[in-house]
Amino acid sequence: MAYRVLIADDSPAMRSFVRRTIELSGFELSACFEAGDGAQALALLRSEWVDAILTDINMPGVDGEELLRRLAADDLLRNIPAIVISTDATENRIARLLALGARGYVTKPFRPETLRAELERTLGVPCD
Amino acid sequence: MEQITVGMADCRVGNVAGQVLATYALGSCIGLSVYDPTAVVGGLLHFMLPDSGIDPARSRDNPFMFADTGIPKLLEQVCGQGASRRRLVAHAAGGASIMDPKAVFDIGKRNYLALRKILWKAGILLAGEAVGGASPRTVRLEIGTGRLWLQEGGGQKELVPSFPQKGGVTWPTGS
Amino acid sequence: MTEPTIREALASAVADVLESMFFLEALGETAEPPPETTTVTARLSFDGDPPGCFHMRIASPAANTIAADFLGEDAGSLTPQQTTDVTLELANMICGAVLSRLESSATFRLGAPHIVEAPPAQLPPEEETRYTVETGNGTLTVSIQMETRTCLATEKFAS
Repeated sequence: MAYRVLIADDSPAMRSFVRRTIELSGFELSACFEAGDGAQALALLRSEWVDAILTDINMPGVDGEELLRRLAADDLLRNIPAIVISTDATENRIARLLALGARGYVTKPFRPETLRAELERTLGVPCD
Repeated sequence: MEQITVGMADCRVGNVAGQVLATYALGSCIGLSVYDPTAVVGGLLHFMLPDSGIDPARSRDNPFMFADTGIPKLLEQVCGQGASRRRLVAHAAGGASIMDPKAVFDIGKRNYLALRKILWKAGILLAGEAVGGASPRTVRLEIGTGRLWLQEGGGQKELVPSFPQKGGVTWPTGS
Repeated sequence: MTEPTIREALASAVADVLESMFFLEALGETAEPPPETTTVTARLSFDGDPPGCFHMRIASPAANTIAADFLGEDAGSLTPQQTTDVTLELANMICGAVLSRLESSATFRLGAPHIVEAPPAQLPPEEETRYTVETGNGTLTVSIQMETRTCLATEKFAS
């Protein structure tokens, strides 16, 4: 199965790192969209379907928390699994984001293998 | 069954079912195992130091002593026997602090970081690892099945069962 | 917030970030480089309890090497923008890791990191905490200034 994913992060470097990790994890990608903030992510989701969203929290404008709220409020988008990737490792923040509908949470800094494990848990083990 | 011993600063590749690659006494050294379950080709590298820059002449004589010269050679050799880099399943063992419990000169840790960096640049993620701690380790890779055995602290366990399987198996990480 | 605890947080955060995502071992605390050393400085502000700002100054050769390793590329093939992007993300991650260690009842929020032309003048120790580490390709200095010197739940971290 080929996956379509969306990476939302205001850091181009982090988007590259996440994209590389997904590719090296054995997931075949038919599309990998990138957004610099939540507003760009939502605009993209109006015209493109994705199988998973990987989102930062601290982004300008519509941040990751607001993105999760708007996804949860949308009948079509609420079932897309979202994994949060954030520098904030505090329990309060993690609990709040999981309550908003995030399916997974990876704290920066992280090893690529950690993100792979979270992807496998969220999407299922990649097929060869 | 043909056992092929991989010595220190050494590397061997197997492409015949029935071959077993084995390396012993992995202390601060790292044993890197790569296996292609489709091509039924595997390789085992036992390197000792992270960076050949400290002794370029030595690395020309024996690239397998160093992570930065040994790992590319290992990958080149397994791919030369029909393995695909994209299909390789990689595991690492070793990187312990054997002689230096306080880890002042932590060669084991430096070897481990060098390994991760070089694999990342080569486009390979580890499927599992048994690194760190203070115990020496022994690793055996069965070419016919892809099974990987780890010996540590007097006990032996199968860390990777026979292929085919989906996904990687995470080894317990040494403390 | 006691001085040694912030310093421990800086050291721990730097080591954790460098090892996890940059495959680099922090080679021990060292002296700050002389002013004429070619470096790049990133700055970011944060809201929280207390708010403040964070700086990271890194030797240019180290920045190039770190960027190449992070992106999985050869150092010679990187553009200056790629090196800048990675440098900013490194500062972002270290700052976030520091603040997560100095946990308080409020959630810290990081501002966007940006490059500043010159490193900030060093402040008295009572106003900022600094920490410099050798990376193998040059030094990395981090400093944090908290706007309010209140004692938080530091025992949780220190224990």
